[in-house]
Amino acid sequence: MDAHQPPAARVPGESAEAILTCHDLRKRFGDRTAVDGIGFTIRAGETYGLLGPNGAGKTTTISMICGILAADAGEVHVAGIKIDTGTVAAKGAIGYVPQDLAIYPNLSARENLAFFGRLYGLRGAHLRQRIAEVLAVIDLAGRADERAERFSGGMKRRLNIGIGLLHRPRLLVLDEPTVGVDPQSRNAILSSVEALSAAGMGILYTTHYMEEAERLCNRVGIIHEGRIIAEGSRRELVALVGGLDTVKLGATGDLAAAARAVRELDGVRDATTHDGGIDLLVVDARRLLPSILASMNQDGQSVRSVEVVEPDLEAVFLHLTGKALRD
Amino acid sequence: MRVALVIAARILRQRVRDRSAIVFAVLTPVGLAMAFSAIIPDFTPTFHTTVAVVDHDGGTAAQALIQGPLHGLESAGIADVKLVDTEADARYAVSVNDAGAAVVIPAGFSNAVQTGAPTEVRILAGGGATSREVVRATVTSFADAIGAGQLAVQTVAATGGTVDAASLAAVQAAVQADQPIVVADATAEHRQASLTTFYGAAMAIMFVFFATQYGALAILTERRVGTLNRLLAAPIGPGSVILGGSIAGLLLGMLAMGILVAATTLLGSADWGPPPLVAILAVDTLTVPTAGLADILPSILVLTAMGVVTGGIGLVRARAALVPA
Repeated sequence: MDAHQPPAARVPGESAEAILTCHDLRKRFGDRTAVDGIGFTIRAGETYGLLGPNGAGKTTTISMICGILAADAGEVHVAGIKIDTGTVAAKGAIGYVPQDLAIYPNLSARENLAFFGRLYGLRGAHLRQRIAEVLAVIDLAGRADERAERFSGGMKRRLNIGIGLLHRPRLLVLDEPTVGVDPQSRNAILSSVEALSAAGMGILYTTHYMEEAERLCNRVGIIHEGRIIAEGSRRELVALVGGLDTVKLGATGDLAAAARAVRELDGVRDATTHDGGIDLLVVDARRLLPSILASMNQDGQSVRSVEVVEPDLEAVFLHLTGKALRD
Repeated sequence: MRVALVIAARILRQRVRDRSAIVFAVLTPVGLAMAFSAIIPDFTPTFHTTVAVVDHDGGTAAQALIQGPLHGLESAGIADVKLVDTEADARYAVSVNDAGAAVVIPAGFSNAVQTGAPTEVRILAGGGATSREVVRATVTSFADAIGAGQLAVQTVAATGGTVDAASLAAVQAAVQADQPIVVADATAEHRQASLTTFYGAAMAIMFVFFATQYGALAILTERRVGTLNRLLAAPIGPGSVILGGSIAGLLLGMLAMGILVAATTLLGSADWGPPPLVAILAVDTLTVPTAGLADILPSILVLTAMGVVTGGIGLVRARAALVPA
């Protein structure tokens, strides 16, 4: 649970077995295209992150990968077996942890685990053993026989994840597992994911929390409007923005005019306005900051706050889409 | 099938735990049975009449008619048989409603039966058509039973032969034969379920059909709770989800029906015929296949609309509208 080490240190090699391969996945709902040609590969021991805002198509992609939703086009192979809504056998290789809680509130943690374990073919002593192991992993052994409805939000989340682990899947699919979780439980969940990855499990992790993707994922696919617009390790993705820093100015006044003036400064690559301020992409923010503030003062703007952000995935997303990750 | 049973067991456990199964399958049927017994009067319309019989013959055949079919009516509780001396007495009894109908057996009746000669049993009836028809059917049936013997005797006589002892014995046997079938038919004709039994049976079948919604509702509940996707991601077919819900629903329906039968028997004096268990099984045998279909079809439609089951059901557009992004 505490195997917190940089993802880059445990990047699986190209020779590692491909657990998941999806190619050119497409899905439309009426006139709206939810997924538009998504494809990627996850190898054993690799954690792959799908990073994108709400509505980007992450859950739809996962639903097709898990055989819950029929794809309009494209193919998914899990452990070498093609998977779709009619597939049964290959689904046993997947551990699915949906975004919303998928537990029965009026059953106990043990009963929930036993029910789903039986669906995956576990029985008898083996099932009981796995339930005990999973209860220990999700730290619910002491409350195994309490009904889930009496659990805190974090405990329910942990049970939700535990169900996905019960049958020792080769691919664990986690759809935003930390939404609405308190910081302590969130950290426990992230530590669990790290440990599972270190143990050789392939993990597909969707999130719109940039810091989770940076902490957990060997590779990240940035998904926007149903398409993966960039993919790679954190280092590779940051390189896409040219190592630029982000300066976030909280300001009032004529922000559009201020942005135009700031863009004229040497070293400022971009300036976008939003409610309450301006976001700048700059080369070496610390060196340029006095000039930026001077420009703002010169134009009569009132600067209320300044934040400098070193290049990260959020900056990459902003650079690629022109939008913040949480928009 | 194993997976469907696992799902059904889980649903039943949840329904028991949240008390909905107890309310549906125990409290409601018992409550209905109590309501039936309190509201519905224990009244079953029955038919009964009195038959006046005039025996001018006094012979074997006349006694066979009186002691056979007519006495059978008495034994079945349909009619009282009252012997009177003269036809005038019989007419009077009918006219003042002391009897619903009268049977007049003429002198020489037994001899005519044994020799194949024509004879006539007259039926006198008052205003009650039912009494008249019951008596006429009884006497006609008796006549039919001895008709074959009469025909054989008549044939011998018409060809100038003699009636041998064996033929006469055959006629005699026919005359004296028991007529239980006639009486049984009359009983069945007038037997009907009591109001409590009638409403109980209707409610019992309704319970089974109410239960059929469990399959489709189970799927919608799984979706609401958030577990449907997890079930669909498991290595099981969508059919197992449908079947599991259906099995749970039907078991609850059958339990509810059984409790209703037992409760109406104990509280409402309903008469379910043979042992109630047989009645329960009989109704279940009739309703379960229909209810199962009624359950599974909407369940398939629900899953189709969700995009889980595809096929030629023509709900692709609805499916697209229901599935979230």
